[in-house]
Amino acid sequence: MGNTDRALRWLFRAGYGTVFLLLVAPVVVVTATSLSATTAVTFPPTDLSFRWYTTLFTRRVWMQAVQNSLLTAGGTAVFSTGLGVAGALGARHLSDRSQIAVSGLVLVPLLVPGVVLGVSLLIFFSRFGLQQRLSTIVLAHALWATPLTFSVMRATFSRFDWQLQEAAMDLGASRLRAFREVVVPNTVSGLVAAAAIAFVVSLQEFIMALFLSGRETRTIPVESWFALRGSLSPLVSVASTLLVGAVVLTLIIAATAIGLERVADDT
Amino acid sequence: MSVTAAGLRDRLQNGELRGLLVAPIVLFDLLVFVVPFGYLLRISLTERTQRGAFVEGSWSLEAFQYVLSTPTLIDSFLFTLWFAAGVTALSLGISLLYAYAIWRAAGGLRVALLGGVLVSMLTAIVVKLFAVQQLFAPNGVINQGVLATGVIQEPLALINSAAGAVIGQLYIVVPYSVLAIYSVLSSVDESLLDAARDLGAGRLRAVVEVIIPHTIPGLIVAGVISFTWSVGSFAAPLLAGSSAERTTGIAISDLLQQNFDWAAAAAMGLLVATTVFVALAVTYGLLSYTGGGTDG
Amino acid sequence: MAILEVDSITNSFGSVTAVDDVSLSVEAGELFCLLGPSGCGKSTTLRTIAGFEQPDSGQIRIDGTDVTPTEPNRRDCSMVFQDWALFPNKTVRENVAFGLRMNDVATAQRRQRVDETLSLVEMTDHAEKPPAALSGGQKQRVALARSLAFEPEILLLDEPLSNLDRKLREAMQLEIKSIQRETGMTMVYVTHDQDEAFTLADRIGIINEGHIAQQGPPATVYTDPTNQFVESFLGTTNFITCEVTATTAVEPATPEATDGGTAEIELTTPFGEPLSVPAVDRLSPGDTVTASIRPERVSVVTASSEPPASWLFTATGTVEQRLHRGSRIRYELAVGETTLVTERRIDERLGVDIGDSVAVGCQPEAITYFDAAGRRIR
Repeated sequence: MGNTDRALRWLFRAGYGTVFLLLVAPVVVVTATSLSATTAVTFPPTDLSFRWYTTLFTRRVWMQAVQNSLLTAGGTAVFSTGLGVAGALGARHLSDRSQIAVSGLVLVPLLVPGVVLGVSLLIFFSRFGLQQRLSTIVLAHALWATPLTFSVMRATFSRFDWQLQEAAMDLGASRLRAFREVVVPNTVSGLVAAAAIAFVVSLQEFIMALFLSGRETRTIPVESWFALRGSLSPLVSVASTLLVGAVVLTLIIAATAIGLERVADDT
Repeated sequence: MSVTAAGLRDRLQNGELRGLLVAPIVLFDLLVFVVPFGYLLRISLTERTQRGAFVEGSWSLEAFQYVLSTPTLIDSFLFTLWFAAGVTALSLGISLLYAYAIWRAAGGLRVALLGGVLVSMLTAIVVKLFAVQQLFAPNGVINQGVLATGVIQEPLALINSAAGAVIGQLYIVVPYSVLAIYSVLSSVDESLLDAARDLGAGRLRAVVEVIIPHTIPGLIVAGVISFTWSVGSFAAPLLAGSSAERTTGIAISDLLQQNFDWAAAAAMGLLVATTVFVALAVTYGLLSYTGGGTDG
Repeated sequence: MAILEVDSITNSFGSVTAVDDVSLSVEAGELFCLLGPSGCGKSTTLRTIAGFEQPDSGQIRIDGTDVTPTEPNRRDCSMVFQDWALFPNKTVRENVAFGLRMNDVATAQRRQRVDETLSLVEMTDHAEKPPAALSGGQKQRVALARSLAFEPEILLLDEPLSNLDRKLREAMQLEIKSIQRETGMTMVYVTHDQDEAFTLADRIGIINEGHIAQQGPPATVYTDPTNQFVESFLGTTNFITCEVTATTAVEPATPEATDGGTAEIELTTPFGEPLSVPAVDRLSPGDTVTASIRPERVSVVTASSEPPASWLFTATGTVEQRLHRGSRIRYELAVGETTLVTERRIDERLGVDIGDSVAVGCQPEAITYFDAAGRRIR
């Protein structure tokens, strides 16, 4: 009895240990291969150097991709956070049924596969000749980012003590002034988190971006995708490492703003 | 004119119309989601043509007939269902094991195990697939490691094969699946496990009898995530699979961008969307059923 | 003979020693209470008996067999958890049947046993309900039934009533006591509530900072504490800090104070009147000795009347406070440089007002002495 118990325990440990290693392996692999000194992508790399990092900054397509990614992610963050804040504020004053209807409508796109959304948006925007624009990609990414900003802001506002706003108005502030002076400063951490999450969603997304981008509007993931399907060079690893770094940095900002526990709870 | 500009401003200032703040988000989802989806439906009902994407203004069921009568498309749809089911089963098994490990771990180990999931979630799909290509290649570290143990003589075909497509897709769904299960598990009282052991249940039996029934809502959510994302899978089979693993997602992309057959692509897209919504409806039914069972 | 023997177990978590060399033995059919403040190690002791914690050293024996390395599911004891730990996805009946099922009891027999146990705890009518539909008291009964059902040798209870309100708690205490009498089950009961321990226990073990401070029948422990912790933990008391003046033998203050003739050590007190304790080697002049008098045993008479001759000492004091606390009245008396608290039932109230002068004293057997290390001096 003792033996089977012990065997079971070791099997369990080996099981989750393996899963853990496999989960973190991609980050290790891209970081290691980005430091390759040769033109070959090999893991583990034989010699280390930063040459591919400097090379990346001299390649026009990659610099274009970095710029496109930042513009798209920034645009998505601003746009979805705006929609999310207004929506969450408005939803508080709706009947229960309308609230459910609005949340349902906002959440559904998150459940639709990216391929289907990509196809539907490509066909639709082509009709107006709007495909291959960054703004179109922003709209597409906002479909996935808005449900998240909306729920984060709803959670934030539900935690806020609205008597504070009433107190401010009672002391003579107008509704708008009270909002600016009392509500905004007390909910700013939720706002930062919402924007950061939207930023990260857009930074990582690539299927819709693949369908909706043109040669000039490829984001980093899309450019990496084409590089992966073509000839492999450590530049992909460098771009990937930068992408992971940017994501982690953004989330650290969000986490320090509202605490990691709540990022997990609200989304 | 009953509504004057000044009157409207007053009402806005008094906060009577604050509910209207949902207008932008609703308008956005209508214009960028509902209308394009309606347009997709419309395009799927046009005549197919060799010249151009579709026949403007025509009405026809031709695209659906084509999709449902072309063996390669039917095969790809059936393969996708199998693929999604397999990935879902594997994902649930792996995620349950890992979520349980996080739940049972304490202190630093728990933080590390949770960190592993977060790291994976924060790695973009393209990056993960790129790493899968390196790790699981015939000359990659994993094959080299297994070869060194002497269990196998030839490297395993872990990429550019069905196995590769499944591994790639697992990389996409497992982190979310783990969190879905863990979020439910974390609310379970650990003393239930002690109680079951105390009453005579062995380790495995205690987990099966007491813990797994609790995680069912989490397992269902994890199943939905794994299944719906795999039904729409595109990147993993394309990058880590071989040409035999042709999912619906790939088929749609080919119809759209290579064959320029928009009507058929739209019809196929609707087929995938319908599959997802049917899966969601079934799950919703299951959830309310089990929810009623444990709460009532 | 002892059915459960805990033989000097020690249990550490990192640098914290939760249980330090604890030994106790419990007779068959006895209800043994482990009483102590929170964090004293009583729950860890219980969990070690159940098998959820492995002791660093020491041995647990059930029926004379060493079970220290045995897994919890193979030990013939069962635990009632503080938060009851009922399986929420199973009905009351399924919860109670669980232990029988794990012990492979045949279906028919299982059914009968579950019915018996449910009727013992008066939960037959609720058998098909899920735990979520039950009140706190009902959950408590189910938890008890679940552990009783498969008839373990020993029932372990970890503060099982602490989540109930006071009235229900008192009712459940009587019920547990009567179930214990009815079934003859051996029970080890952990609590931080001394009233609960005194109501239930055949014997009490008082735990402090991982040690057993004293064990014995409730009455003995209360009236004859072996150390200052036990005295202070069991209800309120007046501690009076005294100083050893001389270690030479002196005349006893009163003839009744000792068995007569034994050497005595003199103490100075904050209220001026000298006291004396039996001479023990460990005391030298200048040492601190703490005297303790329970509030109900402080004697008081008005200044005009003559204090009884049987008093150990007689000091003068002033009434400082009079507090009505339901059925009792509490008086605070300034006596010399200290304050003594006394309590009277409302029908035995003292005829004094705030500011009145009174004579304060006590009977010789009402006072106990402890040295600086907290050990009883006798």
